[in-house]
Amino acid sequence: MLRKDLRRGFLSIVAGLLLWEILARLLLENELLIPPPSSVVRSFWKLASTGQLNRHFAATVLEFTYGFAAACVVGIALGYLMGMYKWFDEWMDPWIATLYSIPIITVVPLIIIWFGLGMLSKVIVVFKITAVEIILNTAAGIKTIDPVWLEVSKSLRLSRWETTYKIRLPAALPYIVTGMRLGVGRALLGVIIAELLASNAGLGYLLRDASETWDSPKLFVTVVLLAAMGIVSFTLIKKGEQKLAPWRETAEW
Amino acid sequence: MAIPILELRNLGREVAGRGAEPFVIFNGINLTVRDGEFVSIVGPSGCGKTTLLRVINGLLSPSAGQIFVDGKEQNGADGELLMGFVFQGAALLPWRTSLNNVLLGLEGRKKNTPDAQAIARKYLDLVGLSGFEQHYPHELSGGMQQRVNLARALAVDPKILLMDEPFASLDAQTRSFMQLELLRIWSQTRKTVIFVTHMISEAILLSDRVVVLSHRPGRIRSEFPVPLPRPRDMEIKSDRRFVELENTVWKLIEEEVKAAGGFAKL
Repeated sequence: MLRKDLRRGFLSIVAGLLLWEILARLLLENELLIPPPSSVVRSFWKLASTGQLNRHFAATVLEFTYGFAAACVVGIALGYLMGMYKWFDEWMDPWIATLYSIPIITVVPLIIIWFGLGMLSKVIVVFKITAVEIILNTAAGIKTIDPVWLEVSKSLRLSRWETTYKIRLPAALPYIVTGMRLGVGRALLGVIIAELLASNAGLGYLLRDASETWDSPKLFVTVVLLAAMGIVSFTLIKKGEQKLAPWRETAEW
Repeated sequence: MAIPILELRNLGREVAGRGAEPFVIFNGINLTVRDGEFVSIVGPSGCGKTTLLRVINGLLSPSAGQIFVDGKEQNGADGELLMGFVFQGAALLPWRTSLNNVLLGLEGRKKNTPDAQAIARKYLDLVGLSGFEQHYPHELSGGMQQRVNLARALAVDPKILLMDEPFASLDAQTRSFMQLELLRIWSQTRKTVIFVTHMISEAILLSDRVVVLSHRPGRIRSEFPVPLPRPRDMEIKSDRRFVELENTVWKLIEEEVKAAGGFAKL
C-alpha cells in the first residue's frame, strides 16, 4: 500500500519536472522568468561546490535548532506550571495571549535592533514563535489529564516527583508534540522573514541576494531547500510522535 | 482474638451539598475484616460502595471515623503502601506496556531493577498474561486489561486488595471467566480482598462474607457469611444454599431501593 503510494508520488514529481523542463525550454526565451529544472540543478551545484550553500544552509538550520530546543525546554516547563497552578496560569495568560496574537513580522525589526544582525536575533524569533505554541499545548495537556491516572498514582503511593514524570508529563506528551508540530511551520516562516529583513547569512539571506541580483535559478534552489527543510522537520516530529505515543492514532495533517 | 487486618470504626463521608445541609454519602460504617478473608460489598446504586472503597484506600478522606490496618491507624494517601486498588475501568497507562504498567508501583521501591522485573513478570504470569509483557493496553482485550490491572495491584504485595467493580465493563461471558480466574488467583495468593460489586451472584460466588449496604446515606444493613465450601466453580450457583442466599440478599436490596423511593429514582 504505502510503497505504491510512494511510487506514485515519486512518479508524479518526475513527470512534473519533465513537463516543466520541456515547457520552459519550448515556450520561454528568457530563463529569468521560470528557469528549467536543469538550470536550477546547475545553480545548486555551483552554490554547493563553492561552499556557499553549506554556509547558508547551516546558518538557518542552526538558528532553527537552537531556537527550537530552547523553546522546548522553556515551553514545557512554563506550560507544566500553568497547567498545574491556576494562579500561575492566570498571571501568565495575558502575556502569552499578547505574544500569541502579535504577528511575528511586526516584532522582527525590534528583535533585530535588540539582538543584532547575526544569529542570535533569529534564534530569538524561532524561540518566541515555538515557545508560545508549546506553552499553550503543554498547559492544555496537563490540565486535561484523566483523573483516574492520578488516582492510580495515589493508590500506588507514588511521590510527587514520580507523579510528574511518570504520569503527568507522558500524559501531556501528545499535546506537547502537537505544540512542536504547530511551532515548526511557523518558526520556519519566522526565521526566513528575519533573515530576509536583515542578516549576513542563512537561506533568507540567500533568497534576498538572489532576488536583488535577478538570479532566478538561485531563488528556486533556496525555495526547494526550504521546502526540504520543512518536510524533514515535519517528518521527524511525526515519527517522534508515533514512537512516543504509539497508542494514539496519528493526527491528521 | 487476633488483631483484624482491617477495621473501620464509625467511618463516614460527606461532601458539601446544594444547600446548607451537607450531602452524606455514607456514615457510621463499622466493619472488621480478618486476614485472608474475601469480603464483598453490595448495595443499591448510589449507596456509596465505590466511595467507601476510595476512602479505605486514602484516595478520598473520611469526614468521620477511623481506619485501622493491622491495628495501625491510617492517615490518607501519604501513608505506607498497604493496599492495592483494582480500578473499575482498567486505568492502565497507555504509554506503558503490560510489563511496565505492572512495574509502575515497584520502580520507586525496589532498588535493583532485575528484581522488580522478575516480580512484575511473576504477577503477569499469575494472571495468565505471560507472553503479553510487551503489549500496549490498546492491543489487549477488555478482560486482558483487567488482568494487567489486577497484576499491577498485586505486584506491590499489598496486605489488602481493594477491587472496585472490576468486571463491570466486561461482557457476560468474559465476566464469568474472570470470576473463575479471580477464584484461582485468590486461592494462590490468599490476600485479604474487599470486593465491591452490584452483582449479587458474583459477590456470593467469590466471597467468604457478603456485606449489604443500605440506600443513601449508606450504612451496613446486614452481613451474611457464605456457607459454601471452596474451591468453588460455576456449578455452585445451582446449590440450594447459593440460591437461598441470593434471594435473601436480593430481597434486602429491593427493600432498600423501595425505601429510597423506588426503581424510578435509581
